[in-house]
Amino acid sequence: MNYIFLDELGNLTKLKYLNISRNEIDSLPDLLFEKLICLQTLNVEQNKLKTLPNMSKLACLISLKCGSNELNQFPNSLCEKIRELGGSPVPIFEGGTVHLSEFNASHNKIQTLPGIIERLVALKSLDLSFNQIETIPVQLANCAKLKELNLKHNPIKDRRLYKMIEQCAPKKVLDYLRTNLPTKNNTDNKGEDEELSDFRKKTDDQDKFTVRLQFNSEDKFVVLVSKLIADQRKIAACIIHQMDLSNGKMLKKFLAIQTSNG
Amino acid sequence: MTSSLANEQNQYDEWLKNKPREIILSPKTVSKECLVNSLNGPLFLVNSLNFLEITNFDILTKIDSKISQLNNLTNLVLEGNKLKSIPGT
Repeated sequence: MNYIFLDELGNLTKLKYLNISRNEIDSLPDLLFEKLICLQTLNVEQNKLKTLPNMSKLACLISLKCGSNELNQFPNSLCEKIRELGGSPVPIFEGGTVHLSEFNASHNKIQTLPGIIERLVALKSLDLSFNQIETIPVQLANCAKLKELNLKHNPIKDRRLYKMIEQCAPKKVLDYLRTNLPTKNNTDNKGEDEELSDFRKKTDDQDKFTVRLQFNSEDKFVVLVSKLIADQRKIAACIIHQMDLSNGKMLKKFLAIQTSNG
Repeated sequence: MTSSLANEQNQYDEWLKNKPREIILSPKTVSKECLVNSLNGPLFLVNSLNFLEITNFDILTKIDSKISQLNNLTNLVLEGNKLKSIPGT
């Protein structure tokens, strides 16, 4: 049986475009991508790959297509070497495959996505449909340029998120994830989490469909919902008791919070 | 080798001597026999090559390690063949 010497391809240091799709390749040499520093487009679709070699040195990579293989892990090497430069008011990232704009790994066996996917700051198109992903890391919402997102046909546990995904609503999906992003002020967030946890402990067995509006300070309005409501569709109507909206500022905030986050 | 195949081979070899920058090979453009002969050597002497495309050959499971000599290659397409991987050499 004859084979292509794939590791010899690793010496083609001027290569910008490599397409070895639609073959029967079941593995790639570990060091294949060590020297391909000019590579911009890589297509390994429709093979039998279970893993991908380290791609952290593909500094020029813009498009990666590895769909229709047998990958059982997200290729973390894409993100690991990307670092945020400090000292800038606007986040700037460098290293690794920071320029990756298009990534298609559909029709594989990927089960988890890492939170460090947020380092792929140039990502515009992401297709992970037809995998085995159960949860989506909220950090995906930090990929600010992401416009095309396909996560369909994954066993997503969050029913609300699952429906948004199946409805092909990338913006809604990212907005939903964004609402669950941890805030930078960890103390405040920790307080809210504890408050929500306490609230849910009291309500899960008693008033199953409960919404509480809590005004913590002049500038902070907190909405606490029981778990069952969080998993339901949007609330169509809600009767609020013991709420003093005579203060104009409070009324304004109350109306604003109804329209935030869709 | 039949005369038509010999003619095809000769034409192809002559073309390679002109040091083209692009070579596109598919079953529509070249016979399998010609492809095999080319991959046994002459192709990898074209070090001017920037673009090499060899697609849809079901007999293609091997390419000589001399492919690494094509050090000006910027685009390589080996789509739709019967290539498999091997351990590193």
